[in-house]
Amino acid sequence: MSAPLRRVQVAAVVLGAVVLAAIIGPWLWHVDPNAVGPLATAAGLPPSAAHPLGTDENARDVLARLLAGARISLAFGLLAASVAAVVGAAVGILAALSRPWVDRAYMSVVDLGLAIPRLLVLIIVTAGFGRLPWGWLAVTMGVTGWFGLARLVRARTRELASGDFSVAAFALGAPTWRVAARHLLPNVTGTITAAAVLAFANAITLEAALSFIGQGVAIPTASWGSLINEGRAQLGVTPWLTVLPAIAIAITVVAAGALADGVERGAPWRSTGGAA
Amino acid sequence: MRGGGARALAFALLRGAAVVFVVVLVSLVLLHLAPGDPMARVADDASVPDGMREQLRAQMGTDRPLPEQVVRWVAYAVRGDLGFSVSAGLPVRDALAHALPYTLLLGGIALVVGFALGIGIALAQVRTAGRRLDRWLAAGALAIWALPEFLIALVLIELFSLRLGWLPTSGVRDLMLDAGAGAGAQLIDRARHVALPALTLALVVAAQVARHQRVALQEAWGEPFVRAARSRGVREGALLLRHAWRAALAPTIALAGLALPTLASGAFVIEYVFAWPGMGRLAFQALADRDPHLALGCVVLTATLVVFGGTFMDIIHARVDPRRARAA
Repeated sequence: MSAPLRRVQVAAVVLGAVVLAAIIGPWLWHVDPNAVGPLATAAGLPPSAAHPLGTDENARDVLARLLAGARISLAFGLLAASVAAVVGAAVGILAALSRPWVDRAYMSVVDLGLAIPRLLVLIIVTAGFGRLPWGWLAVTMGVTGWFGLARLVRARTRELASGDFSVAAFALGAPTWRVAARHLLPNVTGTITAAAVLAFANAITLEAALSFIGQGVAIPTASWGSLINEGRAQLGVTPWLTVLPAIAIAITVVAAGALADGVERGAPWRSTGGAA
Repeated sequence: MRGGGARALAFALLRGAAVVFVVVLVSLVLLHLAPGDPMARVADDASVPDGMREQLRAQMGTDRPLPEQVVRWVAYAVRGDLGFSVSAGLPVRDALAHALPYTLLLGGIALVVGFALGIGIALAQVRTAGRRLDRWLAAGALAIWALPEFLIALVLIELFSLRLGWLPTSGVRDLMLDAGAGAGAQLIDRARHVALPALTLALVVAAQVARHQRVALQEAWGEPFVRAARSRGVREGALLLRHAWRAALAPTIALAGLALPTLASGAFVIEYVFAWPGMGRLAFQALADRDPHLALGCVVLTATLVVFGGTFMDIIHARVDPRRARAA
């Protein structure tokens, strides 16, 4: 087994474990993440049997909040990445198969999107609509995060569209949509997946930053970013409040990055090419 | 060739202007579509007299149809009038003028230090490829890439400010420092305050640069001209610096333009953490105070800087890379 393959497997297992913890965790550890305990006796407790990861300054159970936060943060990343993948893949494939001037028009939009910091769009949206519910925030992030993905998909599709199997399909009289759906799409899924996994990691990071600034998910909803924000004031006293969600973010993002890297590199078309 | 260059420059600038216009357009459309009154803050404030409320509304044109708003905003903006910030109590232009130098200082230091650091890391990695230092540097770059900027900031604050007590946690200057203190003391105080936010942002930039530069260097390392130089007896160090690095530098300069949006976003978040009075903090303050005009001003000015900064880097890239200069 080659080292890169092993790394991808480790990354997939780690990411799977995080997702699994988010799904079944709150079900196994049946504590209300928003339930405030007795402040005088149970606030800021270090880890113990009753509270495996301690409590925060409002005497809420940190493990329950971390698991609940995992659900929000992961769902957020997933939603944003799905929107970005669908829009980006559609635009990328369409652009690659369109007439040159249509292609250029699509790509100007992509260049435009890449030239503008995403945070600015989110600031304007927040300025107008106030603080968004987290689902809409995730969609907004997807809508502002598909540009790089579209560019990659377009490049890969163009490469494939001039390949022998596409030329053969076209020569046999297959309509463009059929070539796109049956021959090209299956071959660009690797590129789409790799880019979508990165978009997932980016969305989680950006959500954390927004929540930290107070423009992400609304309190008392727990997300990894909002947990860090809540714990920050007592960083010196109860460091685990900040450190644990930070580790959760780091593990998830690193695993996603390694996975994306591996999907791209281990993809079938690479093994015949030899290069890179 | 000269004439072609001038035309290309004019085209690039026109393109930049078009991008900025789209930003203005999209922003105004979004603000227009949003429910509620953009002047809610004034409308809710009982101490604001009715006459002034109407006057402000007319002045900002928020009651006009959208196309007229866009034309008005642009027409005023080119004359340097970006409206009035209710929350700051002064024209948006003045609020921006106060914040801009701080962001430029922070971003400028971060860009220079970050690129120097990133290139240095990549060179060290290629020199020690496969050995322990290479792996440590790669792991460090990966960690910085994976962590959100604000977390790196928190770690640095915890380490350098709270544990070691070397540097202040936030702000631009020590308010307790005597105004009569010498220029040298003032300057040192400012430098101590900028150190941590700039270092945070520089690390973020460096991680990105190192990743790119290492790939570019390794690619160049395998090129025939490096092998040819080695066979002529050029020493490894010179081979790396004079031959491989020269070829690998151009894509890094291109990266500088592409990194600007990331840099701007990062600067915004870091300014918030360190209470650094730049554009980012102003923008988030505008959000907290429900002051869309101030937020709009921050967004448009930042977008302008990023877009034209990118254009500028692109031109430099074409100059440095002889292959691109010939193609253009």
